[in-house]
Amino acid sequence: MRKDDTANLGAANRTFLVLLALTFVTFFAGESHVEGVLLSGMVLGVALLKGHLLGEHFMGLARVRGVWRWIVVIWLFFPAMLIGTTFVLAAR
Amino acid sequence: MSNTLTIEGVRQPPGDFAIWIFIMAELLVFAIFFAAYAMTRMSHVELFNEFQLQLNRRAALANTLVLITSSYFVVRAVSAISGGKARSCLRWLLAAMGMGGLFICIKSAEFAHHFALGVNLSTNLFYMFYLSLTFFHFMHVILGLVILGAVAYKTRQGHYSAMNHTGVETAAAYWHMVDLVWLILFPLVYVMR
Amino acid sequence: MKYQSQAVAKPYFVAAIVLFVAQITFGLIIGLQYVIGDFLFPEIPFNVARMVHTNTLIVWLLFGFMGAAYYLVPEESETELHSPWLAKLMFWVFLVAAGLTVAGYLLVPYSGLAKLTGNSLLPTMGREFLEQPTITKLGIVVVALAFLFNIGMTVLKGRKTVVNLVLLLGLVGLAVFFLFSFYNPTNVVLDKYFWWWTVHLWVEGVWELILGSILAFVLIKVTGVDREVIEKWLYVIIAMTLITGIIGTGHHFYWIGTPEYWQWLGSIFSALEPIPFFMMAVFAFNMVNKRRRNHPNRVATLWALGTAVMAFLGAGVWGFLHTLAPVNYYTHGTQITAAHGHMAFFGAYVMINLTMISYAMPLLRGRTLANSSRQQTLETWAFWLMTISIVLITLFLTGAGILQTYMQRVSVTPQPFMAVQEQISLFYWLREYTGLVFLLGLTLYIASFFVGRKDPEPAVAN
Repeated sequence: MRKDDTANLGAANRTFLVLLALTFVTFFAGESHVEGVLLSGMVLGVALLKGHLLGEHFMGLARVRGVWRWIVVIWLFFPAMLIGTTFVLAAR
Repeated sequence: MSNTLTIEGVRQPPGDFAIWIFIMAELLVFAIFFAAYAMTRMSHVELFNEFQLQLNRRAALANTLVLITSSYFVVRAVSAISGGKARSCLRWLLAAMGMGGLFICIKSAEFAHHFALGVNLSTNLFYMFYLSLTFFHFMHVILGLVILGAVAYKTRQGHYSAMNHTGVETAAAYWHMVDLVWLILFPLVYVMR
Repeated sequence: MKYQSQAVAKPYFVAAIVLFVAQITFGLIIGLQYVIGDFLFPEIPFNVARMVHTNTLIVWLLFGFMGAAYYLVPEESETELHSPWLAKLMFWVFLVAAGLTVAGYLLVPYSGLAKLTGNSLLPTMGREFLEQPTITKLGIVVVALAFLFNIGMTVLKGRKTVVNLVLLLGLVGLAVFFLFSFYNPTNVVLDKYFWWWTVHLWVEGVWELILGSILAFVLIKVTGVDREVIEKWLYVIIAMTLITGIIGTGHHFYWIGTPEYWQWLGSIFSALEPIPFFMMAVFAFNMVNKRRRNHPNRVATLWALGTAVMAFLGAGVWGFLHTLAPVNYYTHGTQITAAHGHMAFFGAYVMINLTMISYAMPLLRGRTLANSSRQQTLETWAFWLMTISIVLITLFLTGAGILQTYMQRVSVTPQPFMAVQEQISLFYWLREYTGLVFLLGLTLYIASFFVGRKDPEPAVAN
C-alpha cells in the first residue's frame, strides 16, 4: 500500500513538471510567428496530451481498470475532433 | 476505498461514484460550449483572430501554471491522507486553495480590464464567447474552492484517515476536472488562431 | 403516519384532486373549442376557459406541493409540525381565494374583474398564467409566507436532512420568484423578460428541486435504500438542474427584444437541461433495482418510476426538440410548444404530486402501509390510461405542430394561420378523443379511493 502510493507520487511529480513545461510550449507557440493550422494543430495536440496526463496521474485513472479508465480520453476526443475539423476548414 | 485496491487496480475511479456522474455531465456542458465556439469561429475567422490577439496571454499563462500547481497540491493532499497524515493533508489542501484564490485574482483583473474598456457580451461574437466561457469556468473554480474548503474543514476536524478518505478523493476529482477544462480552454480561446 | 400533525396534508391533497378534475374538464372544453369554435359561446369563451385550465393546474400543483411538504417535513425532521393550526387556517384561506378567483373568471368579464379588484392600484393582471387579480396574488404571498414559516420552523427545530433542506430551498425559491409577478414594467421587453423569471425559474428551476426532494423521499420509503446513497444523487441532480436551468432561461429571450447573445447562451445551456432529468430517470430505476424491500404499495413505486421517465421525455426530450434558437425561429409559439407543455407538466409535476399522494394518502386514511389490492389495481389502470393518453396527446400535438410549422412558416408558399389550422383539425379531434380517455383514467383514479377501501391490505412480501 505505501509502496504503491510512493510510486504514484513519483508519477504525479513527473507529470507536474511535464505539464508546466508543456504549458510554456503552448504559450511560446502563441507568441511565435507560426500561425494557422500548424499552430492550431500543435497547440491542440499539446492540450490533448496534457489532458490525458492529468487524467492518468492526477485524477488517478491510470490505476483504474475497465471503461472508467478512458473517461477523460473519450471526453477529450470528441471536442478535439470537432475543434480540429473546424480549424482546418476555417483555414482553407 | 483502500480495501478495494488490488494489484490489478480498481474498477471505479477514486472518490465517490456520484461525483463522476457529475463530472461527466459537467464535461459534457463544456464540450458543447467548446464545440459552439469552434463552429461559430468557422464563419467569423477574422473577427475571432483579431480580438483573440487582444487578450492577455501572459495572464492566461500564469493562470494555467497556477491551476496545474493547485491540482498537484491536491494530489499531494490525497497522498498525505492515504498515508494517514491528516495535518500534512490539510496543509496541502490549504495551499491548493491559495492557488485557486490566486487564479480568481488574476482572472478578476482580466475581467476588470475588459469591463473598463466597455467590453460586454454584446460587443461582438468573440467577446460573447470569451466572457461567457471564462466566466462559466470562473464560477466552477469558485464551486471547486467551496468543495475543497468543506473537505479541508472536515480534515481539520479529524474526519479522514488512511482507511477512510473518500471525501478528499471526491473533492480532488472535482478540482482536477476544473483544471482539465482549463487545459483545453486556455489554448482554444487564447492561443489557437 | 408517524406524526399526528402530518394529517394536515390530507385536505391539501383532496383539494388538489378536486382542482385537477376542474382542470381536466376545462381542458376538454377548450380542446373542443379548437374544433367547434362557438362551443359554449358566449357563456365560456376560449380565453376564459384556457385561463381556468392553466390556473387551476398551477393552483392544484401548489396545493399538492404544500400537502407534500406538510407530510414530508415532520417525518424527515422527526418532529411535529410547528403549527398544525396555521396550516389548517392557510388551507382554507388558499381554497377560498382560489374558489373566488375561478368564480370571478367565469362570472365577470376579465376587464370587469380587473376593475372590481382594484387592479389599477397595483396593476399585475393580464399576463399569461399570472392572470390572477392582484388581491389573489397578495393572498398567495400571505399563504406562502405562513407556509414557509411553518415548514421552516419545523426544519429548524428538528433533524436536518438533505431531502428537507432541498425541499425548503425549492419552496423558498418558489416564493421569491413569485414576487416578480408584481413587477409589471411598461416596457414590453422588460415585462416579458421578468415574467419569465417567475414562469421559467419556477418550472425549470426551483420546482425541479421540489420534484427531486419529493421523489427522493418516496424512493427512500418504498425501496429502503440507504438515505446516504439517495441524498448523494439528489445533490448531483439539483446541482445540474441549477447549472443548466438558470442560464437556460435564455431560451425564452430569443425573439422578445433582448440582446442577441441570449440566442447562444439560451441554446447552449437549455440544450443541457435534459441532463438532470436523465439522471433522475437513471437514479429512480437504480434505486428500485437496488431495493432492500418490496414495499406493498407497488403503485406508488410505479408512479415514482413513471415520474422519472415522463419528466425526462416531456421536459427533457420534448423541450430539447425546440430549444435551439435556429429551430425555435420556426417553431416558436406553434403546437410544438403545446405538446411540450402538456407532457412536461404531466410528466414532471402532475406525476410527482400523484406519486406523493399515492404514497401518503393510504397512510393518512388509516392504512398501515398501503391500499388494498383492488384499490391498487384500479390506480394502476388509472396510471396507464392517463400516461398513455398524455403520450398520445403529445404526439398528436407534435404532428399538428410539425405540419403547422411547415405550412405556415417553412414552405415556399406559406399559408395564413387560420387556413393552416383548418387543415390540421384532424389532429385536434384526435387530441380531444384522447382527452376523454384521460378523463376515464382520472375517473378510475378517483374511484380507487373508494372502491375496495374496506378490503384488507395486501400481505407484505419479504
